[in-house]
Amino acid sequence: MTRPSSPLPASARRDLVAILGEDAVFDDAVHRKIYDSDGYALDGVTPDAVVLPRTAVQLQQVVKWCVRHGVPYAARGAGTGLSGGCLTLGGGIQIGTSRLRRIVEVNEVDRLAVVEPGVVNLQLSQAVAHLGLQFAPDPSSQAACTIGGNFAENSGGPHTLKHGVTLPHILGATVVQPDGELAVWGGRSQPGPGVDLLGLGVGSEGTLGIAVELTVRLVPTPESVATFLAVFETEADAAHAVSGLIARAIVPAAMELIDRVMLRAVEEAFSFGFPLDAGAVLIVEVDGSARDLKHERPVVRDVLNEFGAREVREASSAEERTHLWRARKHAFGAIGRMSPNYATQDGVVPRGRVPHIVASIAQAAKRHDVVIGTVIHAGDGNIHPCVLFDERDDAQVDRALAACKDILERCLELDGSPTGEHGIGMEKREFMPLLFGPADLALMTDLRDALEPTGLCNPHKILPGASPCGELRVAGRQVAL
Amino acid sequence: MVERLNAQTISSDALDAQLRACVHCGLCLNSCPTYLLTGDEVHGPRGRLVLMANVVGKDAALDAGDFSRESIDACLGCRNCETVCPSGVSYGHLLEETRARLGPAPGQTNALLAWVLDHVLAHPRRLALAAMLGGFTRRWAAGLVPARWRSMLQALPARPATWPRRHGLAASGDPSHDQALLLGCAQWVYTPEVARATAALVTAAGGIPYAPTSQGCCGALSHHNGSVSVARERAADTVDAFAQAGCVVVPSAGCSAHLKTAVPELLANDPARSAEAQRLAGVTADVVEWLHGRRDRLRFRVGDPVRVLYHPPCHHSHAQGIRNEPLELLAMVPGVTVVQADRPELCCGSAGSYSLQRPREARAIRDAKLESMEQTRFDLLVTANPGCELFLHQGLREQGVQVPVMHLVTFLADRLDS
Repeated sequence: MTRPSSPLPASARRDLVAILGEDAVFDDAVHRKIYDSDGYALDGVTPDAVVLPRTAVQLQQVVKWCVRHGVPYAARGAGTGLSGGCLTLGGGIQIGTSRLRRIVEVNEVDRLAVVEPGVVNLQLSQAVAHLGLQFAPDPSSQAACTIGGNFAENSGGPHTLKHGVTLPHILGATVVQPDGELAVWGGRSQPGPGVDLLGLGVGSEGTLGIAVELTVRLVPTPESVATFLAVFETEADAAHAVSGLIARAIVPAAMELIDRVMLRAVEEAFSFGFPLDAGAVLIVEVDGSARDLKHERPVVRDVLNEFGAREVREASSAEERTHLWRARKHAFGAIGRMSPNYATQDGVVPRGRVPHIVASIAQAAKRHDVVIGTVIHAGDGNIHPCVLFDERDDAQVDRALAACKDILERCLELDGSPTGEHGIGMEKREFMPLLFGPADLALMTDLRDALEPTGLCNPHKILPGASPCGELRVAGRQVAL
Repeated sequence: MVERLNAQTISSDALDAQLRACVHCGLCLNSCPTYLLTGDEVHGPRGRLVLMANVVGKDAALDAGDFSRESIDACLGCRNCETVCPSGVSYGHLLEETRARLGPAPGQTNALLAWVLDHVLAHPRRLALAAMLGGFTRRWAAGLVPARWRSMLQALPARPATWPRRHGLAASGDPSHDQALLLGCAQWVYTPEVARATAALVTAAGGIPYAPTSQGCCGALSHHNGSVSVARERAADTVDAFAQAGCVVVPSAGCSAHLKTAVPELLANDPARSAEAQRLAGVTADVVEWLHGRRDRLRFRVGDPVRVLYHPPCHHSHAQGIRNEPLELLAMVPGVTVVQADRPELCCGSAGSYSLQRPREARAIRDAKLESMEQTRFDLLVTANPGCELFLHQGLREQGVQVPVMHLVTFLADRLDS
């Protein structure tokens, strides 16, 4: 089942060029190197070739060619994913959607847009902003990531606490099925009768087909927004304040916890004026009608103060709010200023247990003598600890990986999960048996095999089993995640 | 080659650390005009950093035989990726070091261009003659030019070249008070009104402008092109020409950026000039920045209502962090409504000598820029760098659009309340 990666044989190249044209088929060493990883840089998998179709028809023909010749393939948007979801494990062809970036239709009345998969998330929101609408899912990578990628990974984001992750925002998708035929999942309105194929497809990490056109829901931009920055002496205080707010029956649009290490990195990058001596800060945003906010604003302040915030600031302008979110959303990148390498984790715990996991992260850092910077989508209990290391120091790598493992196992103990929004991809397959029983996994495998009988559509992902590993950047080590 | 190795002004440890700052997040992709044009990550910043590791890093990502400089050559050097990079990767610096070590791009067209940049541009009179000759040839004798060079001829500015004049500016001034103007090379020849306007505005803001006679080209274009030894000579000549100046005001975004950062680096190992180059960098201001600092002294007359589309040069936004100043100056003029294109931060394709070296890509990038302007109604296109001004002017004319294109200072000087 596994095959080594190699450039294309002449006949394959000729076939693909006939479908796509000369300037869309790349199997030179430079392309194969540069497309060997995504935002998850620990692993690398060299593809045999990269193809960049310009139309849905071309993309479909490429898939058909792959099926005919038994060549595995995987779709790639902007390569911002964090679990290696777009990499061709065991070789194969990466099909980039970057040239499929048309917004086909915007319908104000039905509040939907029809887009090609390579349309950038933020670009859609900007294109419909003049209508007072937006595409709600806002992953931190929204300035670069594609809607096709959001669909595949069921991406979350800070504001999905109130508005929901990608799933409820996808109305329909035209998909090239693994057998190369076109299927339409969902439509232009609420789900109808029949098996919910769309629900199955969203978040299937590109293993059940490639979307070539997506119908997405647009939601009104809120009438009013209030964004607070609360400064706490300890991370534990901040974590307790999260539960306190939810207990007051307020659903903030977003609620983000940033710990001391991350604060330092973000401050260095964006000079926002975060207090560097704080244990943690909490960003709380509420939105809605002006009347809702009149009620919620003082409640938020009170609760934050009650849980020991030493200072609560409110963003005074739209610019300040944008700047604050920019700082938060670029936190992962900012950490690059502090360390040559880092491993970002994506665990989930029930939100009432955020204080527990926060304590466990601190313990793991201490036990394994590593620095960990953490941001948490606190309202969802979705934690993103970044474990810092230098890949040139073997001992550090070992300690970092051990700390990651501890944290994710602790998430499971706390009735959580090892991933919230980054996907299992190739990174966390070995966690699946810890999360699901044998019967669940068998059902999932049967389901995938029924919808994807070819074994060629982004194979070896999500479900554990005999499968090839990536070519590890960290030499000689299997990442134990 | 020895010269090129000497070009390394910082240690490879530091360069390697700058490369390692990239965490591979990919947030740069959508900011890159060549990635937007091709959809190909090899032509995006993250991909180029992988290639740069082969040239300036300690661990090569590719076998030497597999390395290709094509995508490095195809980079505009606009540095929009640097603006959006959360990890603070010094992309522009890495690019210049990489290009310095690779040397100018191969090929006859590039060799001719490098020769022109290195031997003609530095001398305003030679440049004026060459530009006039080029304009004449394009109009009357294009058929006599070898086909491979014709596209470069077509890329020459649509405006006629003029003989460089001093506009009555004094050759010297009081270093403790007066403002020395760097008149630029192409700007002086193709848009002489910019020098006049700069002088008028500096005067209106309470300054006393002068123009040192020995000044030539600052060498920015040769530097971008990887001609380090020539860039170093130009930097030395420029430092000598402006020795003693207490304040240098530069009406070209590309030149002001070059004086502030590249010139001190180029002359870091020149014992006679390194200190003076540092000092000069500290007293250099882009004209927009300088005027903005003295804006309370400027008075503008009421003119006809006009919608001004402002195109921010990358050498302002991404190289110097000058973003709001031009918009605020424009907003001071009664009757002006300032508008911007969709995604104003994207490069127009001019990018130093890029539009001459890679006319096909440059035009495609410019087409995208012009298309982004189509949605917006405007009477006047204003920018602040000679490259953008000439290239956008040419693009609009080719589309049959007669909207005037001018430098910000030209517009502001015309609206001064005398």
